[in-house]
Amino acid sequence: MSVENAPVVDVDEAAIPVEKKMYYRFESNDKKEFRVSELAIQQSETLNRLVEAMGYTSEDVENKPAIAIENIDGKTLKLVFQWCEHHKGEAIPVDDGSVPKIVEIPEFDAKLMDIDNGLLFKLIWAADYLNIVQLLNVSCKKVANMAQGKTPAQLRRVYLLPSDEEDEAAKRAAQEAQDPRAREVEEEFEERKRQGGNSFF
Amino acid sequence: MSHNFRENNAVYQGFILSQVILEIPCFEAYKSACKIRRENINYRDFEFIYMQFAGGHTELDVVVPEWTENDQTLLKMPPLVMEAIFSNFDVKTRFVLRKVSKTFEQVVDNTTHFCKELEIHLCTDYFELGFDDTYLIKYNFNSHEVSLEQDEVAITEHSCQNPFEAAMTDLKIIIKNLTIDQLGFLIMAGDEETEQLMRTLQQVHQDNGRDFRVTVLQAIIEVDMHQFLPLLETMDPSFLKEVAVSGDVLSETIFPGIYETNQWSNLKKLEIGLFVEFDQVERMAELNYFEVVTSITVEQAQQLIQTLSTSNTFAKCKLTSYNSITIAELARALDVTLENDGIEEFSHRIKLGNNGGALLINAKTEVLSYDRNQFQLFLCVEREA
Repeated sequence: MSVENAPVVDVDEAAIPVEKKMYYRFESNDKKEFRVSELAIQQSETLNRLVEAMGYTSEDVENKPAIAIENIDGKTLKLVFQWCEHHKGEAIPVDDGSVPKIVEIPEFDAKLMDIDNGLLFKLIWAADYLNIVQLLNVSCKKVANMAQGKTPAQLRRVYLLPSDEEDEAAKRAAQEAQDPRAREVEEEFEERKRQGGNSFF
Repeated sequence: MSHNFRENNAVYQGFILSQVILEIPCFEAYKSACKIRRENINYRDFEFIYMQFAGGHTELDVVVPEWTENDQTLLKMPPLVMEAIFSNFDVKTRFVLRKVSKTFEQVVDNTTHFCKELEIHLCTDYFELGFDDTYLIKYNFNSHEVSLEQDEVAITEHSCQNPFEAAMTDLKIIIKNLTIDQLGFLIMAGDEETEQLMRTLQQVHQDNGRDFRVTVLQAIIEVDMHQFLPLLETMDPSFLKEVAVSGDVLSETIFPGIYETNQWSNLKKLEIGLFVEFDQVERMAELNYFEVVTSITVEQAQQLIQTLSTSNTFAKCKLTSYNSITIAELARALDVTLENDGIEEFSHRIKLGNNGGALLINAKTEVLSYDRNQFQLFLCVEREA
């Protein structure tokens, strides 16, 4: 995809100081390209360090290939950069080890995270990978809020958690895959037990 | 109807769209859909369609992607992210989450969690666990009932053969990997139950492989027991800042042993609602704040003021002294001239030469019994910058 056609993240230009007005180009693992302001990048410790280390000039940003983020797809990266642009310039919370962290989910973040479970978990994973502290805080809070007032059966569905039976079946399948003889031995053992034998040997 | 709903995708998606328009929460809409279709629908598929409509899609042609093993789920999150998610769950949600499966029970138990306030009450007839002024679990030893209240409203109640055993089991689950702002004990039961409670706590302490992370420890112990110091020693010294003890426990079970604990070195505040011999009081000047009941003489009062004035850590203390020094004697010891002997309170400021600042002393007396000549003296000393 060309840069011109890339999904450009909305930028509030008035909020960006003139000297900071530089946009970096990033590419997701499905080849979608994004332009992100320097100030927004500061929300991500990982990306901030990366661009600092690269030392790009305004010309480099335009002429060199977009910086590839190989572990994140375009749909997730778009959400990440939308979040970073909206929160650019905000102080990054410092983890002082205090628990629990008092986390409020702002309206913008709540709307941004009004997505399906699969995408939400991808967003959390991306926030963790890119070290975006506040995005990680709010998205973890959102996942935790989903458990409010639910029964164990409902939680199984919401969080895609296997039941004991499914766990047991998966374990058995894994064992069988490792050693096809294991199941036969187990069945033989069960059969002998049924026949009343005290010892397998 | 349910047949159409099951077989005709447009009808099914139309239903989901209607739920989005009516602003029915996703999970509620999902439950209705399961009811109408009379089958368990895959929640992830349902949610995907719901979210597409919520995002502005209006055609009934949403194609649900095939989920693969590579898709992210809660259980695939990195350990630190799991910790972050779990730190947001309250105690009740954690209990529900434990029932999801045995594997998940272990996941829940192995994550750290936080509680602002945990109250543990062991009385002759019942055991209570209170969290954050919100939840209260009560184990009634007489009626054999276990009840859960939320904001003083009963939520569940069930009978239990051995409520004490159930209480100890639940306590083990709750307190494991828990960080607590304020841990309170009220112990008014027999020695056997008390010892069993302490054994349970010691066992959790061992299983945790680390000390209990408690900032404020409060204990009202109405039985003569020697368990307080061992309990104190299970607390993480880097977390524990304040200790308050009262009840019928003997001060000899706490002093001078408390000064030898690792917890003492980091302690800022100590409130002792017990009578403590004066020779054990002076060392409390190492703290930021202390409150104690003692009996002091004129010389001891002078000695204490001297110690407090040279302490680098001391900020404030409150002493209650019974039937020993009178307010007039204290005034004379501090070179304070009282207007008359019948005065019941005075304030005095002592300037501190080398360290700067001053000690503000407030003294007040109260007669308990004229016939028996019983009185108490309250002494409050505060350091001013």
